[in-house]
Amino acid sequence: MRKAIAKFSLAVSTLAIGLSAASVVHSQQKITGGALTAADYIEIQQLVARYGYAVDTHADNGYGYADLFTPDGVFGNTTGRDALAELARTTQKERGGPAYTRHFLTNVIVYPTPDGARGNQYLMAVDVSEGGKPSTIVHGGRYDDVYVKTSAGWRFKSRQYVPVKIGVPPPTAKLPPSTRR
Amino acid sequence: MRNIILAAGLIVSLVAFAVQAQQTRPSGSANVMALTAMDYIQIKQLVNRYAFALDTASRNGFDYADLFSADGVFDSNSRGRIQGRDQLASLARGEKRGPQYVNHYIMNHIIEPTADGAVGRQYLINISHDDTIPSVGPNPNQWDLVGQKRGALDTVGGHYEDVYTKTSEGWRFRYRTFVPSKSGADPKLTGMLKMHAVKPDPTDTTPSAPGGLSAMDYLEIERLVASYGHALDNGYGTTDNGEPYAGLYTADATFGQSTGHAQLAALGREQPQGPTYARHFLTNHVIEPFAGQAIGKQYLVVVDLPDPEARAKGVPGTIFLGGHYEDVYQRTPDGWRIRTRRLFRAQSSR
Repeated sequence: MRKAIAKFSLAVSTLAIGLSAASVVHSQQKITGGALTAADYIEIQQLVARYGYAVDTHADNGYGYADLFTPDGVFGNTTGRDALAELARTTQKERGGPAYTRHFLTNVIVYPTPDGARGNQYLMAVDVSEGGKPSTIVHGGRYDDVYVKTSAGWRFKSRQYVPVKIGVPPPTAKLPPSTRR
Repeated sequence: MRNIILAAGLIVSLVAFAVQAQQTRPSGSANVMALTAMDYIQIKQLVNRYAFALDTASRNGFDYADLFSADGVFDSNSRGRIQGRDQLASLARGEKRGPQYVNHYIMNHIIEPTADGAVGRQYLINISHDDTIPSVGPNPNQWDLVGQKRGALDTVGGHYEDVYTKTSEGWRFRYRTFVPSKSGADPKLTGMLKMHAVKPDPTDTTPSAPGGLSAMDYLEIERLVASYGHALDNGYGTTDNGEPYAGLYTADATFGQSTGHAQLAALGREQPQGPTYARHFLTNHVIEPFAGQAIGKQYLVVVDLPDPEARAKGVPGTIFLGGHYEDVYQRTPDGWRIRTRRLFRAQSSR
């Protein structure tokens, strides 16, 4: 099992390196209403908010997770309903269940595109204390998503996890005191 | 012994919740209340106010009590069912409180409409910030401070289970309980909450009262604030964060001691960054219409997350900074922008 997690993490890391090298798909800075209605934004927010529960509870044997995606949906290098369900079933296999919480997502942004929408969030993966031990932050980063509206509602068409990596400090990181908080 | 009491309390709470949920949960999805975008927004606002009301105990705890309906219940794992305005206010007046105290970070808010209202869940993680932070020299290089530990996660984490009701005053909690995170099966908890189509409504684009905010106004202000980390930490996945960061503000905006586009861009560039960096986590965003514009506040936690290399070595993330922002938003031809922003560092009144 540990091997499976390690393999999964490795795959995610490898993918992330590939992504950052190829200049990641990330939302534009422009903030406009665009072609999405208020109902669309809410439905996409609700989809994104279900992600943590789907992963952490292993609901419906992993299909609770898979069904947040289109039938040909992609997470990282996993494609398709059965493969996604298996991923959800086997991720953190020993830790999970209806009361288990690990994937904390915030900074949810959604933008319209000609084909639907795209968006991003931050993830903080927390190993919540069981039995009084301190909780720890295990890892974190950002998700890059593409959403599409299906007959059943908005779904993830693709989702990539981009783990955090700090950049390189500029040679002149010091600035005049007037610009400081 | 304490664990047994806690476990017993939890079981009682969950049974009570199951009964509550059953009373409100429809047998089929056909007869659920059709919720508009504004309903979802107001339910989210209710939950976002929860953390502020509890952590500050504002108005002597009555801001907290007034988030509940007249018959509303907070089902406490340790104290049992708390019902009634005075009892709820008393619950909010805890040991560590104060106008700048922040502890409850709530995320992943899911909502499902029911026959006579809605049910919902969120994740909770409690973070305790140091009241005093280590001293640094004047004008520190911000990159040198990464990894400095100024707080820690509490042992508490898990999720809330809610029942909401729409009163003449707006959406309120009718029932709320907290379920600590735990591995393993739990037959008392229901499965995933279902997603429903959101009902289109005139308030999507037109405020229901003059000077108010439409659903799109709320959503755009939410996105503006949710963009803060993305703009500042990674410049939306680019190599420069200065312009994206300053672009969140009006041209004459002020944040702390920085005023105007050039100073704000410089302030952004001074912060540690990178195309795949993530550090500023914002949540519990409260938004209010104000004099034709809007004001808001939200919690901040700056987290130094382990990168994949550090993670492989088992290095945990650390808490760098916590507190809350207070903002004024302004409508511009390009959309909503931050006009002023102030950071209040986390601090408890002692």
